Order: sequence, then structure tokens, then C-alpha cells
Amino acid sequence: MKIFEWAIEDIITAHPDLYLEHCAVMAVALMSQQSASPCEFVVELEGFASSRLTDENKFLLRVSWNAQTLLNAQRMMSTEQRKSIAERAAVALAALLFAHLIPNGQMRVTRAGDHADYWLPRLLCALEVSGTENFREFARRHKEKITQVLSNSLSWHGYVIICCFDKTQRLIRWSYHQQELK
Amino acid sequence: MRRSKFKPSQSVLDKILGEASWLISHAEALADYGRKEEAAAELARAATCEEQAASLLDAAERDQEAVLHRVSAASCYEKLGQYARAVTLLRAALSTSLAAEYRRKIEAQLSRCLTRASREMRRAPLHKTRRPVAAAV
Repeated sequence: MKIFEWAIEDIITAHPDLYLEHCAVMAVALMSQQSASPCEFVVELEGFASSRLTDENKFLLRVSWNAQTLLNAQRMMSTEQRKSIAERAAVALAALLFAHLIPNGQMRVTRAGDHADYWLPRLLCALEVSGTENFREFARRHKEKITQVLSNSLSWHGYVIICCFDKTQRLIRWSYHQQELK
Repeated sequence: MRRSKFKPSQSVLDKILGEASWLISHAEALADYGRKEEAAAELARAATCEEQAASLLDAAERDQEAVLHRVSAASCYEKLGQYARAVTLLRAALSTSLAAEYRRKIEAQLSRCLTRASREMRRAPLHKTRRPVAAAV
């Protein structure tokens, strides 16, 4: 299995249209509770391939962080709700994956609401991201997000990224879905 | 409606859309940190930027995207408690042809904002109209 190792702080410069510092901090808040830097995830791809992966549909992602981000993360854990942390942490990992593996994978948020919707304007795709600390929720969450991403208001095709920060199973499912032809 | 001949360049559009996106995500981050006043100020900037983005997208004949940004601006105003402004934007969004499900979502948001706007109006104190003071002769 191919291995990639990237620093979570990469997302800050890779996505100039998003403020992602706090997402990076929240990701480190979760990852540092389970592992020293770097933290490992198995990433499963469905429905698409990346030019950097040839025919493989699975790889190992190692996410590293620096001392300053860790310091901020330790402060964060005492103030934030865990559910919100998992969601933002997933956005950080999604941003990291798009920054390194998908050309023109620049992300944008286009709707202010309870939860942000993300778009990939250069790819004309919508993006749904979600995070959980409970592996039992993983498959259900993925299914829900597929329905959501395909009901996007521009009828674009879509990507779904679900990140599982379970202590026993750190897993990311990254899938691509096309609108049915009408 | 006749469209203006002005078409914004892609780079101007990209800049505004990028800025709107950054402001919304920054407002969310500030809210996450419990910095409510700063989050509200950033949300107000985001609303203005989203309105501007919608107008530029209209000019570029990208109607569906314009609707999206108009609704986003309305959501910012709704969060800020400025329901009347949200209503105006949502009505404008509904004047475009939209997918049925998306239209239903916007209509639901409009109905919520209308209820809140009328509640606000009832709560607001009545100001008596002052008669102009007769100029002293």
C-alpha cells in the first residue's frame, strides 16, 4: 500500500479561499489524543482514481503537525464540544487530501448556515464532509452524505469524505458520485 | 429583463467569490471560539460580499450561482437578526427558475424570516411622527 505523509498545516496555504487554521487545530486535538505525530489513517477511494495512485484504491495517510499547532490543540480541547471538533477535523483532512491529490482541488464555502457546504469550483463539484469518533456511525453517515451531496443546488457531481477518528479504527472513505442522467 | 452589457472578468469574480468564502469560514471559526461579536462583524462583511458576488454573477449570466450567493447573503442576515433584508434577498432568489427541492428550501427559509420579521416589528416601539416645528417668526 502506498504511503503519503503530509503536515496538517499545509492546508492553510493550499486553500486561500478558506480560513482553516481552527480546523487544523481541531484535527490535531483529536489525533494527538490517539497518537504522536504523525497519525495514521487508511484512506479508501471509491468511484475515482488519483493520478498519484495509479490503480490503487487504498493508501496510508500519515498526518503530522508542529509544536505550535499541538499547543493550540491542547487549549482547544477544554473549550470545544467534541462533535463540533470531529466535524471540523474532518474538514481539515479533506482539505489536506484535495490539496495534495487532486489538481485544481481548491475548496470554497458558498453558504452561511448551520453547516457549511463546500464546493470545488474548478472541478464543478460539490463536496460533503463529515467526521465521527464512532466507527459504528461510519457507514450510515457515508450513505446520508451521498444523498446530500447529490441534492446540491447546482446539480453538480460530488465528492464525499467521511473521517473516522475511532481509537480502534482510523479510516477515511473518499468517494465520487455522479448525477444520474435525466 | 434586459441585461446590462457589463460582464465582470473572471478574475474579478474569482476574487469576490474567494473573499466571500473566506469571510464565511472565518466567521464560523470565530463563532467556534465563542467570539460572538467578532463573528457577527465578519458575517456582516460576508453578507455584503455575497450580495456583490450575486450581482456580478447575474451580470455574467450565471443565474443559478447568483441565486446560491443571494441565499447565502440572506442566511448571513438571518443569523444577524436582520430578517427584513433576508426577506428581500430570498424573494429575489425565488424570482429565478429553480429545482423544485431547492425552491422548497428557500420558501421555507423565507417563511421563517417573514415570521421573525413581523414578530420584530410588533416588538419594536412605536415612534410618533414629529410634526415640523413652526419656524419662529
